[in-house]
Amino acid sequence: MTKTLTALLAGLLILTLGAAVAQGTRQPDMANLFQKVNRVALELQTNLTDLEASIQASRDSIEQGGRVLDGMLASVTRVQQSMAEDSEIWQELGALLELWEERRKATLERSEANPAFLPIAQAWQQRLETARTLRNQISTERANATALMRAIEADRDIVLAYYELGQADKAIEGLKKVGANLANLNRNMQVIVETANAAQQTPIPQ
Amino acid sequence: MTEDRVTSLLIRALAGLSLCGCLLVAQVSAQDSGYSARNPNRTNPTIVLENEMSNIRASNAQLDARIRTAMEKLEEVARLTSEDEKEVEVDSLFFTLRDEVYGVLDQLDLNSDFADALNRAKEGTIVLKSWYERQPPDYPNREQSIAQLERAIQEYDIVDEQLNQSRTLAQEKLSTIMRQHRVILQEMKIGKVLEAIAAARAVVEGLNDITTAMTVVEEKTYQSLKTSVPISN
Repeated sequence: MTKTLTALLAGLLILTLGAAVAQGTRQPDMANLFQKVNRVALELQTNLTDLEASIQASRDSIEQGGRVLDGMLASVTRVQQSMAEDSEIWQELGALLELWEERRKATLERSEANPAFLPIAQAWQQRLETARTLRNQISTERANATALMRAIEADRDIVLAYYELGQADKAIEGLKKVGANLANLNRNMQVIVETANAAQQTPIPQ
Repeated sequence: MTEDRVTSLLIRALAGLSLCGCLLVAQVSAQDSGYSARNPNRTNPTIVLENEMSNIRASNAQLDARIRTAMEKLEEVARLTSEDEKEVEVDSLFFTLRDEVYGVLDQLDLNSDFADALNRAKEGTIVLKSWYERQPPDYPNREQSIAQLERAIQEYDIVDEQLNQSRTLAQEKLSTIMRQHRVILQEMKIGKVLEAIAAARAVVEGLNDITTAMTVVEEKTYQSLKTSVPISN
């Protein structure tokens, strides 16, 4: 009985301390951040694949038009949430900026005694520049996604009212407008993916 | 000792250790959350931006005062007769200046509250501009407000760029301080005191570039804040 209990409690202890150590030592990683950003962009791109066909197919059906709008709203909401201030992407980027800033400062200090560290400090600086661009791009797209979400929510009833009025062309026009904004968001997400990729590939001299 | 007693002690000991582990997890988590929750005030980013701006202004004023003090100190050092005393004074002066520029860099950091507030203010302006764009063409002051908000977005980008330039400049000055610190001490050791003091004076004067750049950030920020308010109906 004592042995079983001891083994159980020891297991619990190892798990608890293991989790603490793992969380304490885990470092932010640009490759990981790139994967996350890429996943969001790919998901948006997939959602847009059949959008034009779906819009045309909804010509005679208010229910289908409503579903297309809901689908578009869900896509934008996912993009917005994945880049929100409490998102993994934003937090990881913040952690990376902090880590890189520390490394740049540390190598700059070491370059005081040994000038060979100077190009390394400059390489960290270059990485920080790219990360800064990424941060600005994500911040802007987060705002654009928020604006688009609000636009879809505000225009939803108007688009559906055109269906009820029998003016499918007007309803389709409204859906296409939202579709164009989504395509724009998609293009900007591709730019963000390119920046994230550039940030992970900036070499640091050894 | 009975088996029950052993079991009870074991449970207590392990529970205590587990608690330590949990506390460690909680502490690490709290540190992690600091990256994103440094300033939770999201209701009005422009107010946060104004507050953070005053921190930058205070830091700028402090650096400005330090530069003046350093210049005065260098005048005094030049008048000192003891070579050792001169060396000690110049050495301490450089360490103070280095700490001061590190302090400025913390304020201008990419992850600073100011940079966060700047992002939020710009994001809010983008959303507001989109709202005006969705209003009917005859909505009061629609066009002027859209144009003004677009200008504000550009102004925020300019502030961000100025902030970046100030950061780069401060880093360059920091490198100069570090490099010159050793050179100047060497010069003093070999008796080139006047040259050393002149070089130190040039380094200190060069720091004025940081205060000038930070003043531009301050002016541009206020300009952006003024422009980001749409024209009232």
